[in-house]
Amino acid sequence: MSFIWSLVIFSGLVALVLLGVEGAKLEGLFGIWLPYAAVGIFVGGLIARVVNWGRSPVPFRIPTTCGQQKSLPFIRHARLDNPATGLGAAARVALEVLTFRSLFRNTKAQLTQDRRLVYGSEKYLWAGALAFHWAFLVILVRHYRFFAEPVPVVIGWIQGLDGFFEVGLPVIYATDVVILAALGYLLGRRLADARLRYFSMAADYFPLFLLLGVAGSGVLLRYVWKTDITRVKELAVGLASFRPVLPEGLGAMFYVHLFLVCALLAYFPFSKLTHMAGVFLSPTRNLANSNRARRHINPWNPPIVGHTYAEWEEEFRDKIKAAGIPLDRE
Amino acid sequence: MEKTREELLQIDFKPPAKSWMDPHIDFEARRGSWSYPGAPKNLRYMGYPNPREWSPTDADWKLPANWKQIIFEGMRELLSKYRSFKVFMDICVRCGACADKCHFYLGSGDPKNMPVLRAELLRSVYRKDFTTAGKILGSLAGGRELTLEVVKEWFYYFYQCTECRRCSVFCPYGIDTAEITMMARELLNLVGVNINWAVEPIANCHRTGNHLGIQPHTFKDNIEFLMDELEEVTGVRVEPSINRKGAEILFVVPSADYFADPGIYTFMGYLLLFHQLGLDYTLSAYASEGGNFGLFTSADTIKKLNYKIYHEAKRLGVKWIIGGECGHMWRVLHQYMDTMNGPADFLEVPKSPFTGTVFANAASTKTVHICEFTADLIRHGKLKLDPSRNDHWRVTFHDSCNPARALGLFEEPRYIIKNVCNAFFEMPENTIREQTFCCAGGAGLGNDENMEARLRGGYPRANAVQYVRDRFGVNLMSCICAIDRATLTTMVEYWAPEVKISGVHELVANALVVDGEKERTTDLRGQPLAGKEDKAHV
Amino acid sequence: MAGAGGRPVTKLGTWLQQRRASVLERWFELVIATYPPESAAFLRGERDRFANPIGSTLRRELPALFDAVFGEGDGEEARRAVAAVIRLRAVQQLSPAAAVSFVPLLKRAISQELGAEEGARAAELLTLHAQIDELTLAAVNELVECREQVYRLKAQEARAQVHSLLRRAGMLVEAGVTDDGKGGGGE
Repeated sequence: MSFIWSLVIFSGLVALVLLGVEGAKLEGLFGIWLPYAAVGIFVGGLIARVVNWGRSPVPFRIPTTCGQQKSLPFIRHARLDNPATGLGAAARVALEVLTFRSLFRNTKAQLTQDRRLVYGSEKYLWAGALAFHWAFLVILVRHYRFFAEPVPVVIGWIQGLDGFFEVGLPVIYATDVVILAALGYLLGRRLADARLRYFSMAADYFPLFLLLGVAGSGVLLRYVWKTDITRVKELAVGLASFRPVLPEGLGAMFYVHLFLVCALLAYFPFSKLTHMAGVFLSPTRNLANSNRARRHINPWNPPIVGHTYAEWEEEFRDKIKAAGIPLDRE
Repeated sequence: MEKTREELLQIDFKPPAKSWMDPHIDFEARRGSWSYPGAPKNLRYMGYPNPREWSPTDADWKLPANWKQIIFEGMRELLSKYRSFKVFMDICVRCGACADKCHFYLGSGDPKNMPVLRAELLRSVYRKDFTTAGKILGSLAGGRELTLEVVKEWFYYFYQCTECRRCSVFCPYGIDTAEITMMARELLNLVGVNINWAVEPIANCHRTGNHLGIQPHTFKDNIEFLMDELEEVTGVRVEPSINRKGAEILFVVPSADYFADPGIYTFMGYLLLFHQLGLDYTLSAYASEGGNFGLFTSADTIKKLNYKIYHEAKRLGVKWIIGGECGHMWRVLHQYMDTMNGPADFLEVPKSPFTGTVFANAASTKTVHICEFTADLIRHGKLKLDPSRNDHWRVTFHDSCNPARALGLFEEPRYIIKNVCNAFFEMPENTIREQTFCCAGGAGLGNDENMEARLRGGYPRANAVQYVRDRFGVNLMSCICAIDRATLTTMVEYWAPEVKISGVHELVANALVVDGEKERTTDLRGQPLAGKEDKAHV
Repeated sequence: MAGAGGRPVTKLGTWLQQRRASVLERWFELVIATYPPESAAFLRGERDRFANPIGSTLRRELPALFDAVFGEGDGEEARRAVAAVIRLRAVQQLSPAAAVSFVPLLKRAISQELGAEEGARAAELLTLHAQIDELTLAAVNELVECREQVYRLKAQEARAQVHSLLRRAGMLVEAGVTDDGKGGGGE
């Protein structure tokens, strides 16, 4: 049901831009104003979200320790999985962000009872997720060439590396293949696995549709309905320099691509996609397990006093005395 | 005819497929999987809201008239106090990595025991009322109305989480269901929905100093009784001091260690070790509980109960603290005590009087885990050990959830066991250390009315125990948690009755050669030692 | 057995042994279907014994039971396998009927495997069904034993608390218990 709903909304968005550009000739709206609005919502929304998180304190230091603590000198300390310092915790978060280490933890080759080697499906989740995120990042970086003149050398290198296999004309980027395959897998597993289907919601399918739409339309623009890159660059540079111009003949598919990007940007701060920022703020990962070595301060530590010794002694005085346990006040 | 029969069976066998958003729970049919509610006397004593007689099977849970408002306001307050809560509510992508990591899910197949869904039970309400998308789109955005049925469902499933944190090991964002469960329990507590197995120990602990409500004279009697038993086995009279001012160390243990089988043997173990060392320590009849069921109820209660430990350390003028073998007690001592009731600037950085080792990792809390203390002694050759006195045991080690996933105390107990036992065998890798499976009786769930949930939740652990039993002939599972010692004992009796449960320091005491001891023919339990069956009169 | 009158050539037992893998798979599926559908894929798919205790127990014990009935194993082995599965299902909030259902579900798996041939094998099936019925009864026995043990454990835990209290307080004198107090709860 949630799958259908997401698909309906996604299709509606595509129809909206096609009607808007082809029917109502609203190129200005879709080419200039919506991109500005979307970037504004993205930046503003994400900042607001992070600020909102940041406004709540971290009252307790609660890292999940996944390795040996630093204690006695003769016991080997797991620096990454149980960091004892802020630096270690930073490294832990960095590896989490760059390599999805916790997801990888899932994956283990196992010898089953019938002596067969089996890999858990989680390995695919780790690989699929990592492939998608890295491909997405490379594609984003590659897009920088539309906004910069001259194109930085680094972007050229990345582009060259990405098209390393030199298959097809124009050269097919490895990341284009990877991102579509990875997104396809991430969507497919939600549909195929009854367990995932059970708890997946519209909010899980919808971003996948958006991303598939963005990547798919981008691929079509490059390989099928080729768009005029100089005009795209004209628009991009204009937008980036706040002197927007609207080149003619960008084509409906380009507007679909651009609009879906806008939709993704605008949707981002209100969705689970904020995990991009949230992962850095997770107190079970970004804190060192130095609890007993350094005191952690809780800003709202309530002034609670327990049952004091004096109260206790008063209540049980006779019994304490009879048992021969020393009293404070005889 | 054939068809009718199949249809008849079908009804019974196949659980109906329904959306997880449907909160209905049939408490009558699910007896054995929930705990009795908090008794009004205990709520009253603790000043908790809405004390009353009620049962989960009642249609009317007698919540306050404005219960909804109370929960929403509580939620708002918790969101403003805990970044963890906010972030964990917002960023879950439902990737499913946690889904098959929960022992309750693995033992039952009940999909709402998947950590992701357990969290969604709360998250859906958060979304509906605290997010823009949820306010507008409702259930399409995964939002769910807070109804009485939802509260009942929370009670069922948030008191079916042992806060073991196994799922958080596998989450790519470190989302910790224990944290979410703690929040949910705070909220439930606001409207007087809690369990007696948590609030009764809390009330007892607040008043008498320990969960069991043991008063000072009984505390002393108990300990003397145990020292009698110890003397029978070892021939050595151990005389611990209680509430002694000027001792170097305050020793804090979970009360089950001086009260319940098989924890009492661990307790004898600690004290025999201290006796042999000549350690200058004292027990306290006031701070007579290391455990803290506040952890399973509310942060304020944690602080209130934990207050006694530093308060007593200061009053007695000790230099530092040693904590016994207990799981959730150590989560509190490690992750909460210093923040809540510190700074412990009246204490000194712990230094072993026998090895000179400075416990720099406890420089602020001044509180050392007894396994750290003992491992250091063994390393420095300060103990004379005869591991053959544990030869009647083939031992495996169960990593207790909190020492594992809140401290990372993995090698210290293993180091000790390997030095005091000759036969040690690990359970499979994905069931130990940070991946350890819970006993299914923690977080206040270790009560008898909840037995079936405990037994099936314990199956993932038991399954690994059965494996080492069959493969290596393991007959003892050692652990460093008082709740484990109590609940695993029952759990293995059902799943692997050949296996017994012990603490680590029970094994230490068996092996420890004590000055002036008689020839040991039995272990602390009174069981004949290997090769001494004829000499032991049991 | 002659092939006359459409009678099958091989004996049912032998035939089923040849179809062992297929029947076992059908049976396993039917048993898995007694768990919530959302969990079935996981219980079916994950092969690691420690990552999936329910599924792996079924994968271990159903074949053992099958072999005990049709192959090498004996009654002892059959009872052991039944007990191992029942022990798990006894604490999974299944109705008593659902808990023991995994045994008679073997009949259904066999019937599915036979398909149209079922009629021709009626006589042999009668014997086989009687055999499975006996195992079902054994499963009922085991179930009751497990349920009783659950209640014993409950009672034992409750008793252990009171018992140690009284024992420590020196308020208890029990016949048959030595004065060191051994023999109390927890054993």
